Amino acid sequence: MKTSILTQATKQQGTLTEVNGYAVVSTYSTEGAEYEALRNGVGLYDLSAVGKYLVKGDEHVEFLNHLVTKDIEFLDVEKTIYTLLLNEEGNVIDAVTLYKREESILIETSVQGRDAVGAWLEERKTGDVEIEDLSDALSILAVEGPYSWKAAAGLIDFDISLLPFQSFVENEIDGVQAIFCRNGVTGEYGYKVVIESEAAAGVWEKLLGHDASQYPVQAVGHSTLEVAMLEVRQPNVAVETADVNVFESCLEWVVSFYKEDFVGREALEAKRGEGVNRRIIGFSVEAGSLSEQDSIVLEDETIGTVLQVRDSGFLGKKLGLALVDELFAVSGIALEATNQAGERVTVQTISSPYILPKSWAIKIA
Amino acid sequence: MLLTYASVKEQAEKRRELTNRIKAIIVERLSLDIEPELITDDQPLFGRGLGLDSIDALELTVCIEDEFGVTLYDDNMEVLGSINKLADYITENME
Repeated sequence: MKTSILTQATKQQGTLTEVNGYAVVSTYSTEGAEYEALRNGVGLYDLSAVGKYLVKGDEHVEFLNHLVTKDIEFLDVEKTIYTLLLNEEGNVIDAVTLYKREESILIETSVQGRDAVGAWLEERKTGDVEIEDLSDALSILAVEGPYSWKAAAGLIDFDISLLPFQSFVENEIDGVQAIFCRNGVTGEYGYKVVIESEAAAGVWEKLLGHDASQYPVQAVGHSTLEVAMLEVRQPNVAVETADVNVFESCLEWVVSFYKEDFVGREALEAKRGEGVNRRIIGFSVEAGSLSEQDSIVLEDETIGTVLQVRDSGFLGKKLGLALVDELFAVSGIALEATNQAGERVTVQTISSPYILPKSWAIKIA
Repeated sequence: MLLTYASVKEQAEKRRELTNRIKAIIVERLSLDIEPELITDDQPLFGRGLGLDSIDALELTVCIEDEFGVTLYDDNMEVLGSINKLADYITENME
């Protein structure tokens, strides 16, 4: 598997895992300690394995606007947007973040979708656009947590409270040109730095060196990050879009349906016309063992499948996602699952966000 | 408690009726340019989700009180986290 410069330099004793041929740190210490930092202090994570593609040229906005599900025609410079890339069949290739710069747009993919997005851009490329694969040359590192703004403030020379959500600035950090962005996936305050890979480890150490006397400051692995994403129903492409369409994944909110045309639009409309027969719903489990692919049942009828099960540190119980018959894809009801041992386990469908992020009650000073 | 297909189906239909009503009210009262059925139950209402802002939050508070007789307090932001959170709160607090 391919390991980025930043991951190589900062993984320490962390456990590496392979995602789509790329190394990501699954856990640095323990999920409990990492979770504590992310939800109560500052959690730092390494996104160097994600894809980064720079799209430029006279027609770059039109080109990308045709490929993504959100309308980016009038997206302001120094703004980001979260959107989907669909294929002609209306299936999700990846969920990506676009960074609108003066003369170009930077695309941040998931690790899972990195190669697929690169291949898709090349396949759809027209003569008026240039696409540069900067996935190795650039690294992205992120801090999230109720006090992440305090740690991130040390990287910039302006008042961090002035940076709106989903906005970024292009600044020098320790003499190296970088994108400094306010964005996140856990419901907490979040900031990202996009910087040359050679300079990323220095920024990492600086953030990790933030004063930890008042709250925990810790590197957070992807395993903990996935739990935190699940707790606020941040889409996780690897879990929620495999053989599941946009409507079944409840990703309508990442699509601009008023937009006249984009790749996959006709297929989406056709799927919508056919009706949605199943949907993803979140659930919690008080007691009993449950695994992915276990069946959701009612009496003798199978009404769905478990897609994901994770321990929530905050709630002290298991959280999960299941794909169930549309009729039962609502919050606030009890269903049953049959586990590997053949036992019946009661699952309770629940409302997102499953936790209340501490950041919601804290003001950036 | 025995979970029967029929009893759970009835509960689910009742819940769906409530979430659909909330979506229709939000779209109408906030004059949103979106079909109510394209709002999903768990998507965030503010910021990255439906894109509502603090002015909308005020209007939302007023229309939930008008329609359901339930008061929302501004120190309880969790209630505005999603359609589902609103539905939970309304269910718990409706007389």
